[in-house]
Amino acid sequence: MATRTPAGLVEYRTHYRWAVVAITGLFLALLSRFFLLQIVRGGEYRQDQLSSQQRSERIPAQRGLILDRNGVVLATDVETHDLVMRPLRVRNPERTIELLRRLLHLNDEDDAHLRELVSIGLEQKERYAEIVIRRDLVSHHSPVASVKLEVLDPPKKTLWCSQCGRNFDQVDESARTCPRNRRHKLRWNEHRTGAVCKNHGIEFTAGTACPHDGAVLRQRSYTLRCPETGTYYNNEKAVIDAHLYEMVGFEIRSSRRRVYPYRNVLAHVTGYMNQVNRKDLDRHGDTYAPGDRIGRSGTERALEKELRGTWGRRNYRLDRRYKGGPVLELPDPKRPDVPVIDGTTVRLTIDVELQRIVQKAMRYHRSGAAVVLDVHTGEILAMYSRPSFDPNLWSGRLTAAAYRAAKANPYSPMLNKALTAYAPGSVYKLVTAVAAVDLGKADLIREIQCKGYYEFGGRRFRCHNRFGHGPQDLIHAMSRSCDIYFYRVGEEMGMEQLYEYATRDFGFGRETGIEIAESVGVVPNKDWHRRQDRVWMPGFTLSTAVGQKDVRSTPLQVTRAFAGFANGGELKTTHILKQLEDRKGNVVRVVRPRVVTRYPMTAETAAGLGDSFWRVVNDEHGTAFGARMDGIEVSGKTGTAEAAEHKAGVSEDVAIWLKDDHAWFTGYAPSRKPEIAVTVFLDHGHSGGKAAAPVAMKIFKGYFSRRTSAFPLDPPREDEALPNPITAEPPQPAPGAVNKAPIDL
Amino acid sequence: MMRLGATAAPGPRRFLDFNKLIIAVIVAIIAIGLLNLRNADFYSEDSFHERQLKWYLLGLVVTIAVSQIDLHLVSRLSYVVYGIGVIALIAVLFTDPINNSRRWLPIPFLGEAVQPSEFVKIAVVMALARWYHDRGRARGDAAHSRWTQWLRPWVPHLFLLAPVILIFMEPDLGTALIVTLIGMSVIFFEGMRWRSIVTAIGVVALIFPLAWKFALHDYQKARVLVWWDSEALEVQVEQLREAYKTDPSVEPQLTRLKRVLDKAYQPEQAVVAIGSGEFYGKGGQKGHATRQRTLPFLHTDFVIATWGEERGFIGCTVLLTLYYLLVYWAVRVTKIARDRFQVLVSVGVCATIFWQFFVNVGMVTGLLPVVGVALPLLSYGGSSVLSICLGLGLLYNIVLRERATG
Repeated sequence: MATRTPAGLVEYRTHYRWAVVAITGLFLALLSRFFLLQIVRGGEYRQDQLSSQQRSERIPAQRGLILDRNGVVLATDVETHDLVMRPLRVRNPERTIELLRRLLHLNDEDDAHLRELVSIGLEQKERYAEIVIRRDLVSHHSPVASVKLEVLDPPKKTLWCSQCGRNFDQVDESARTCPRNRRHKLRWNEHRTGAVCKNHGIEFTAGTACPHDGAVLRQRSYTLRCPETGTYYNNEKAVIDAHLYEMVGFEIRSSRRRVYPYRNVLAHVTGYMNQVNRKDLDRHGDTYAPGDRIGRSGTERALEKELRGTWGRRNYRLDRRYKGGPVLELPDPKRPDVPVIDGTTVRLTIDVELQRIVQKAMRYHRSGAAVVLDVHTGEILAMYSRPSFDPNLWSGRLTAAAYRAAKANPYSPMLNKALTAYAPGSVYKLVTAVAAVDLGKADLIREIQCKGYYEFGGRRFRCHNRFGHGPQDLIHAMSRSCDIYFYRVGEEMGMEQLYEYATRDFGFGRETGIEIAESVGVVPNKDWHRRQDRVWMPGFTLSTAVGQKDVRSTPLQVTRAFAGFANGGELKTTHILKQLEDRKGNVVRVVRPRVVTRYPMTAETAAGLGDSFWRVVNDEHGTAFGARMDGIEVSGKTGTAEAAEHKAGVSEDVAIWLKDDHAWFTGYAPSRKPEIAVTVFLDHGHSGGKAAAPVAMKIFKGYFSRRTSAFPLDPPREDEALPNPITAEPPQPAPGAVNKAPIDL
Repeated sequence: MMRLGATAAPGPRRFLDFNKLIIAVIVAIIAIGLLNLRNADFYSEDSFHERQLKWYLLGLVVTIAVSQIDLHLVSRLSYVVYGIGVIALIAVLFTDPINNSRRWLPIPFLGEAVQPSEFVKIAVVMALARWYHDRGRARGDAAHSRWTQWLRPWVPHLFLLAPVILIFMEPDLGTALIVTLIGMSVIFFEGMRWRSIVTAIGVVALIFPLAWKFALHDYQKARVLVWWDSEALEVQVEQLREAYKTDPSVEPQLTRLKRVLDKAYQPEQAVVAIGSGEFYGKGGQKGHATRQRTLPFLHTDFVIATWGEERGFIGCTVLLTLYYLLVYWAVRVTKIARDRFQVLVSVGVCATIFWQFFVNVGMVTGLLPVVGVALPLLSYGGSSVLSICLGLGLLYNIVLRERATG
């Protein structure tokens, strides 16, 4: 070889070696780079690439209906249309606003609002951003009530003010009554330019200018009218749809809105929905996405999972199918689609007609709650809390002002008072009485002297009758609600025994089984005091025996305890959910009440106590005698619990109201063969007998008149004819106790 | 004197003749190139592989022709070729720019255009080889003044500098860089001294900031910046976006930076495409980059991304081995070259193939910033293929002569 290399070129030999080393080294560097990219990080990159072409899309499930026991719709979905803007696609915002102003007849204020929304939206440079410019465009459904709008033919013509947006009807300057109804009077303003119908609030004008701001009025016609409120509308959705081609970057988005046809009648039972917040997303971010709606209270919240169903998912990948073809959405075999499962229909135990009766009965009271329970099944037939709210408002466009007003309302409209614990007062004496008889501390004969007060530990515990009831047996003590009797037996039994009976047998301080979130209340004992870091004093036993001091129970718990008494001593779980059904009406799940305990009372005790409860309403010395009604035989118990509160920053009227006692009445009817149990609780309602009992009577009356009208073929039989409560003897007179003349000083 | 051994017994016969093996290597590379181009444009309207086939055939003709020319004639024509190349580079500056650069010189009557810069690579190699060849012959002459002694080592650098500056003016940073690398390789091979290394580093250190400040275009700077630290750029864009909300005056700065960041897209996609090939690759026409056409320049500079994605680590290793064999063979030719001119020409051709391969693969895999450098023989492009074929023809010329002389 050496011969072939000329002598002059030997000097290149080392250079040649260096070159080979350098080339080999750099090639190895490239090889190691490929090794790093393809072997070490390869999986990562492949995953990146896969996810970059994988897409998926959620398919919403239909939310389940909420029905009452007879199939009346309490909550449903209606389609709504929102006008949205895609900022990056908008071409001529100024012209579009002008067009919208003309099409939607926006007044100056609405127009300014719209302009602001659009200008804020245009700053948004996110590629897929969608800004809702106008929510709930009117189409076929009333935006304020859950009814279809009626079509007007010919269209209604009015005069319209472009400044304030009000509509006026033309009226003669000399008119004194409403042109629509001659019996309704008009109230004219001082210049006699405009008038208002006193009955319907329809505004009229005598000239061509707006009576409010003097702007020139213009002719306007409407084609739709809400039958419930009488407001006129136009089909905004159709109008905008027809002009969308002129509004580049604007689209109409359809979505669904929850509607509650019974508005505030059942607000606390159905509850309401609103958008998920950060907390919801943290808890179950895999099922919800930002912008989804979730049940916030009542049934909507408690049965959210069942109502929502399972949202589907369409998985696909973007790819070409053939050379030069378009990019298509192709099925992704590795990620199958998730099918949609619509939400189940929820049938409640509520009877919405009875609920309406309850609402009507409660209407003269500021604050409180009423519960109607089927004695035999434990089903909740009605549950109303006052004041109520409109879940349509809370599920839809809730204005900040409405929200502030609800929060500032001293009567807490958002609180379901039927499931909130309050001091029960004398209605709690049922527990004390049954416990005392069972422990032998009392029987139907033993009498205890009432002097109007009871001395214990150097303190005088007063009876509500300051002059004293005199010697009382259990039946009279109960029907006249003598506290002294119960102080005495309570003291003899002691705190722990009371606690034991109340929680174990009567379900106080325990969950009732209702599906909606409830308060369990408080039944105090020494252990509870220790846990609360409070000093326990023996005198507490006395207060506890009459349902005062720290005892707290919900109206539902009280009703349940009395329903248990009325059905012969079986404490059952209560339910608001009757059954779950699928879309076709097939029953998926039925809720059956369960017997929790049997009351530890003999038939004799039951009869005696039943007599005493009958006397509460039907004996002229009974605490609810003033509320009794002809035709219905009701047994019950009143309660008046001391519950004075102080709150800063409330009006004088509210401060006085807060100092008053809680009023309770709980009862069942008919006395001989009970069907329903009713509890009326009036928050600071002054007096159980005078305030709560009459409300309960109205509810009973409403229930029985509805029952007889609902079952016309089954009239009460002759031999079961209701006795005249005034003259009738008590159903099962207790020996030796009946004819005792009450002491009345 | 060499011809004396023409009939002498041939040297020890090797089991596999390296020179013949290289023909197989080149055929394999060309086959891979055609297959790969077909897959790269499978989902597009163009069919580059058919046009590339014509270039390969033309390249074959060029190779055979060049391998038959007398090398002395080549040596003598070196300066002429170099001169034509420089003139063509000057002429190209007066053409209309395509994509903001003037690289293409139309050939009258043929309807095709050539890139003079591709052929100038070979021309520079020839000129340098010729110059060193002449100097080596004249080494014995001592009749040089001190002045000439000081100046002479810098003459080859001037040979290099002229075309580099002209190419840089087109502008074509990649080719300018490659020509510099090729020329420096030849110069270093001729005589590696510490002095020249230090000078080279010093020049780069001096030129780079100046070029950055005055000569480099924005898009060129962007590529370097993105390669250097793309995350820092993203952070900067975020900050500017925040600032823009309160101060609209930063808008031009923001748009410029965004444009810079967009440049990061292509290399990143290439890296993802290659990486996602993993060990075995996805198989022909199954690559995401080709189906979705997420990668521009798929058939030219980034052609290896398709290969890496479809054939995986195995395919890339095979390709690297083939090129390594080719380059190793090219550098081995220096051992059988008979004079200085031939040695340096073979070094130059070897450097042409090697540096283009290294820089191209380096930039596609994210090792180096993105500069437009074609992958020898694999990338689509007539000028590139022909210039490589020209070089291969020169190498075979040397080998065949050696063979003939035995």
